[in-house]
Amino acid sequence: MPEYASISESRRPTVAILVVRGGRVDLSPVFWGMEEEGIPYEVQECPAGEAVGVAKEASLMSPLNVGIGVDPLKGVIVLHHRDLPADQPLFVFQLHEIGPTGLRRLGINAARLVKAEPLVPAGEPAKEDTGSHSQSKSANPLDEEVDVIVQRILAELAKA
Amino acid sequence: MAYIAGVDVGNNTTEVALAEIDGKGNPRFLSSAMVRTVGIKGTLRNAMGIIEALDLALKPTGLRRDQLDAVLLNEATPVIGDIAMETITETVITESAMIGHNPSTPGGQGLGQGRTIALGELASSSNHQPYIVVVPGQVEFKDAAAKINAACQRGLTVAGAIVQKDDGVLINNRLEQPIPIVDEVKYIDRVPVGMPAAIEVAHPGRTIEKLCNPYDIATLFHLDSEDTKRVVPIARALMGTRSAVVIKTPKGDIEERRIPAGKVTLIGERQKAEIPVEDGADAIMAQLATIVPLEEIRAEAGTNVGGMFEQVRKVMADLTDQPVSAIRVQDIIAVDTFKPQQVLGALAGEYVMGNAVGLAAMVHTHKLPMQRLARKLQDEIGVTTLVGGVEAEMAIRGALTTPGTKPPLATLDLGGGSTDASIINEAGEIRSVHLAGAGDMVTLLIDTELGLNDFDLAEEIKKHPLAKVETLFHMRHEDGSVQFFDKALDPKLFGRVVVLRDNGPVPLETNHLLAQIVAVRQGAKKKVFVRNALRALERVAPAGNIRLIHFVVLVGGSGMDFEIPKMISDALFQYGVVTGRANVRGTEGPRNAVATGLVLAHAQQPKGTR
Repeated sequence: MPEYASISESRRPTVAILVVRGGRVDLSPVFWGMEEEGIPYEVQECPAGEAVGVAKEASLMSPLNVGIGVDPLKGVIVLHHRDLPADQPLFVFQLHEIGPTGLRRLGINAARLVKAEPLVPAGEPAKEDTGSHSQSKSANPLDEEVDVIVQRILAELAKA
Repeated sequence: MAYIAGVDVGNNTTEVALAEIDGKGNPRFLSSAMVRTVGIKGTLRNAMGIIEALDLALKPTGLRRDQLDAVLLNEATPVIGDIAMETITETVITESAMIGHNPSTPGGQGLGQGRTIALGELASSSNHQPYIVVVPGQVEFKDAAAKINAACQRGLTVAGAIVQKDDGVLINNRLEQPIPIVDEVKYIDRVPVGMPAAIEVAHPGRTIEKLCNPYDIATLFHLDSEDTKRVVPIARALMGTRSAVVIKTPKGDIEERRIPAGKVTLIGERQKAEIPVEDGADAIMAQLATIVPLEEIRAEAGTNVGGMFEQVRKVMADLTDQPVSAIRVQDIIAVDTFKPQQVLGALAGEYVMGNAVGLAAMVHTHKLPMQRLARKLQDEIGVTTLVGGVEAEMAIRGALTTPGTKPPLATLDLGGGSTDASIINEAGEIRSVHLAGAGDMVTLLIDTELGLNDFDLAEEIKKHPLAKVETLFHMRHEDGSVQFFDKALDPKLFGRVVVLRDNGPVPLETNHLLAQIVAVRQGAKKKVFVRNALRALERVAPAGNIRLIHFVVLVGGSGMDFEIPKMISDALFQYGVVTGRANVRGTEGPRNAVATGLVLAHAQQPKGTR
């Protein structure tokens, strides 16, 4: 597969991201997560495969030993490390479940895996300190709706 | 022939030594056992733990409880200690005036100075002074960068940015002119706008240089000498951080206050001295050393110290059925320490290290009601139960079974609540002393200095070495050695400092470096254990001279600690004393000294009295 060879030959210190062809997915939050942490990455398409296997392959290609595999059709994203057994990736997520916040966290964690810094645990905001309203709102569109309704009711009550 | 069990009820553990004594009074030890003490030492609840320990010791021998001829209890030392922490300085910053914190990834680097301005106002501003832009969390980093770029193109000067989300690097990467950016500022809405501000981000691996220097702050903000004095707490709080913001607010005020922490009164036979706790530990300990013999220590009522003294006295009064007024605090140890304190009006959870004094107090009464416990035990198990021998004497007898020792010999028992030392001379005379402050105090210091607010975790840090998990498959121990694992470690541990407990590593959620935690742990042990070991040995040594003691053995749980024996040994080496961990009966290590001593003392009694 010539297109992989170009990555491993260049030996740039990057996290490798392999995306299975077909389907569309916006991985920008993953990239931003890595950029904020200061770790470069390279993205390649690959013709076929399933997310875990592709992630493992990416980790083997990456001079930093960290790979991300994405299967847009099945909606799966996987973070893998070269030293982990092929069938035991570090994290597996459903794209529709984790949303942009989760993707950003995955990018941060991929970078931190390289830097040997503590990972950001799932289920928490990308950073413990960014407890802003905006983030919880964007993560939970439902909450936003509830907020609007609550505001409306309060306004009505105030009028009465 | 008789089967005898010696039982030592300690603050933390209950230990048993089981022996068979032949007709000539020679003991042959059969087994030992150790369990956790149930209830406070000296109370009837101890019986449960004792029975459990007895059964544990009997099991390998195949004997039944009713085959025992006697159970011997120690005359437990009636010593109870308690600990407290007194903060003596605090920093109050009214109106937020500084942000100094370590976001893991700030943006840009260098020093910027200007007036704070909300990002939204930037487009409508035409003033040509430099600005520090405040970016709230709901703004996307791309928009923030675009707006800053647009402002610069219009000729405005943007000297830096304060950002709520973790977007510092992302914004900076999209700017035409890189600027220093401090991100992860939690309470961005509290940042005052229209105020002069300075922002500094250091190179990776370095710390800020300007904003932690009061004179540089004075230079930047044109402060007079009075104002410069007032910014000292800010400068101190910013020391060692990688990024910082200082904002000058017109009404803002910073104050470092000493908090009145109460007084301690030392009452000797002839003198009396009063010392305010805020004078610090050294002042208290220096004064304490001059008052000999010390009779009682009192603390001012209505203060934390006073509350702690009351608590210790009340527990002891309940235990011994004496009025509280009859109980006296007889020793204290004070230790200077630091306590991270949240700054009032913080913007990003900043804290400063406030001074604090840790105190341990100890009360000592005539006797714990061990007879009552002995009667209860006798009723429950139907075996003759006697209270035999004073704890300190029994410990020495047990310790002397350590191969390579002979009188004059001193034992050091660094327990949880008190530090005990005893000495036996060639003539067989025994002296002992009990001092305030031991393991619990060390735990308190670790908890305070690391700001954990988790006593159990601090206890784990005290007892076990640390390691740093460097990859999914290996950790580096605090001594630098590397350990590899076949299976991947839990991602929760990755990149973290972990405590190597017996049942697996626990991650520490603090930002401290491994070396800092080690320094705190060892510092706490030195401040309490080493100081108290010397204090205790001086009290029992002939003529108060430690050099005249030839052998010191460590007994009890702290003798098992992974670094305390070495610390004490280092401290005593210069006195020419042979120091080491006891090896009771050549098999038990530092454990079981008292239980063994009880059996030996019983066996040596003339047959008729046994």
